[in-house]
Amino acid sequence: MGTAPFKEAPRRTELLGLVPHIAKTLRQAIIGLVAVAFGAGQVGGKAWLVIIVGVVAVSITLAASFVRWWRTIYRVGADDIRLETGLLSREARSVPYERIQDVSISEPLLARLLGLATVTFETGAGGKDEMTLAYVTKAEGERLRNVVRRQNATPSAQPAEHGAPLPEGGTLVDMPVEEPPRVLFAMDLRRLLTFGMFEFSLVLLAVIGAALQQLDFLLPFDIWDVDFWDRQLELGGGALESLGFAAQIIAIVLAVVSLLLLGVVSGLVRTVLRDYGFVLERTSRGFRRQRGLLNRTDVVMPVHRVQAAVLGTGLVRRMFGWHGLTFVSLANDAKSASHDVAPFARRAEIDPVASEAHIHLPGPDVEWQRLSAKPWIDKFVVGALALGIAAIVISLYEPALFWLPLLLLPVVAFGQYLGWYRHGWAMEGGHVYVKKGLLAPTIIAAPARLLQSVEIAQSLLGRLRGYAALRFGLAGGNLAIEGLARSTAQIIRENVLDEIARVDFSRLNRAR
Amino acid sequence: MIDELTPLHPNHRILMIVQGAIVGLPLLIGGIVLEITGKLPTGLAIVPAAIVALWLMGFAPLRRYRHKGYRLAQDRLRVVKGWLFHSDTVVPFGRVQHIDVLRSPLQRPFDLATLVLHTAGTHNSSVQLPGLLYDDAQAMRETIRAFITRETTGVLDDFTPEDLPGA
Repeated sequence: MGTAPFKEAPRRTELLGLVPHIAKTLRQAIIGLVAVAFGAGQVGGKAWLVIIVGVVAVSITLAASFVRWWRTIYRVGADDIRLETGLLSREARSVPYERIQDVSISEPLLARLLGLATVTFETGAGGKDEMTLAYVTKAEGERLRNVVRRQNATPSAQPAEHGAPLPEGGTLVDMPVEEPPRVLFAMDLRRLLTFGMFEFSLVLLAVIGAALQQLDFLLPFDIWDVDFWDRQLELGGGALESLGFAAQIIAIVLAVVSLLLLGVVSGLVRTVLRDYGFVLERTSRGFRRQRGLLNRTDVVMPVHRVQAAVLGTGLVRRMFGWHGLTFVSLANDAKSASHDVAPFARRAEIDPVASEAHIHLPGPDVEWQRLSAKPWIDKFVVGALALGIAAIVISLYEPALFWLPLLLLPVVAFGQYLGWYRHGWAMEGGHVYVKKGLLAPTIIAAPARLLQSVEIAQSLLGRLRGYAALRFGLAGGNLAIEGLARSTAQIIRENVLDEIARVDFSRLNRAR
Repeated sequence: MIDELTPLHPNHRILMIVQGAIVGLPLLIGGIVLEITGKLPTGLAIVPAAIVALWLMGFAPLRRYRHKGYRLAQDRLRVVKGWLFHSDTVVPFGRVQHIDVLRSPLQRPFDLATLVLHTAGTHNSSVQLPGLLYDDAQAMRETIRAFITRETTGVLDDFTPEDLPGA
């Protein structure tokens, strides 16, 4: 095996741990067996066949569980914990102690009755990639947790900036520095209502319209029936139809206005329900956000988990100088809903919030770099070709309508133009800035030292035409620059890698 | 960035040809059988089957092998692959969460293994480097693991939050 000195001999998990595992597989197998038995009863009740199938299935399950247990070996090393699994495909995983942020021990019911537990070594990589041992004795779980804690609490591994040594068995979490919570951003009712006005959503309108059309059978009357409205408005037989052209136009205008009004009201209601009493505080544990009218939420986000900031805006609100700020957090936080930290604010309010997470947002003096238009031209050409083919196909069946797909050409062209026009990048003060969007620009600001990997990707087309994409590994989000010259992409990559090399991942999570 | 890339072990080329043969050979045999039965005009079965099989077992794996490579630097691993979709990825060891060494049943007869580096990033959360000798893959794992231990506990002890840009 490897060359590292091992402290201990390799071990297997507990044999008894097969019991909860088998119990689980049997539970699933029983459902299948019942189905088989039922099926056999239908065709003429060959009970012995069902029993044979059942016995074979159960023995295979037992054998597979046993083999899997037998081929799973873990080992506590001097520098890492290793886990080897697999019968035919062998997988050997190594998790360095420095990367283990926490060891969690869980005891499902049946395992608990047998005195067993599941041990998960959490590295911050996110759910499915974490190393899990199932099952070991509870004592072994405690021992593993202590091994990891002891390893990480050796003097040289301590966060230097705190000075004081960690207490025995202390955790890796920041030492709490008591400070009173500071309000970073809050929205009063007036701001909330202004915000609501901009949350006007035509999409929502379309949904309501579609719902009315689909669900009108649920209504006690037919809303498309002119007679019904005649009766409601007490106009008398056929008055609406007889009112003539001008009245019909007025009716259409009224309908549009009422729809718009509905859009505004629904936007307002949605916003007030979601963001009523919005308060963002900086506490000793991190950012704390409270919001909501009926369903009030209270979320805490540790500062070191913030990986990047997203500065967004909208087509209309941009003209009035309103922006929104969202944080990108580590992958395993992504499921816990959005990280809106200042959904509707002025830049002067947003910038200090971002600085609190050690992220500098680009000011007006940042020099945005333009990109080659080639990728967007190529995308337009591909789209135009597709539309051309569609036109040819249509002309075979309906020669008079061949121009129909071609109407979309200007739309595609304008979309690609906007895509290119809005895209830009900048690198300043150790930050990577990427700007993109169609109707309104969104800016992603990521400190380069928080990036995880850098990839230069080129399709065949890109290689022939001389452009590449630069894709960064960002925990919990996506960051990419399209349409770079390959040489530029390489220079940016070197700069980012230099920033990354300055700080090790484990330090990122313990510092500050 | 004009680093010399290390090519993958030649056994990996054979492995890729074998993988191509798993699909290519049955196709070729099917083409021959269909040709012998003579139900189609001469050459209509055997020629396309032979072309596809040759592509799967010869042209494609050889070209893919030519475009693969890696470079193990002091503090980073660079993995290059792909012709149609070329990708050139660098993973700094300082961002590696954990390391896998995989051996599939097909790799074992060729004494090959795949090294997988896991990062916390959403994009490229695991970067795979196949076609390494098993011993080499293990040695690389040890190198990277040693780097992580050293980097976390040693050199950067004088690191303070003030060093961070934007702090």
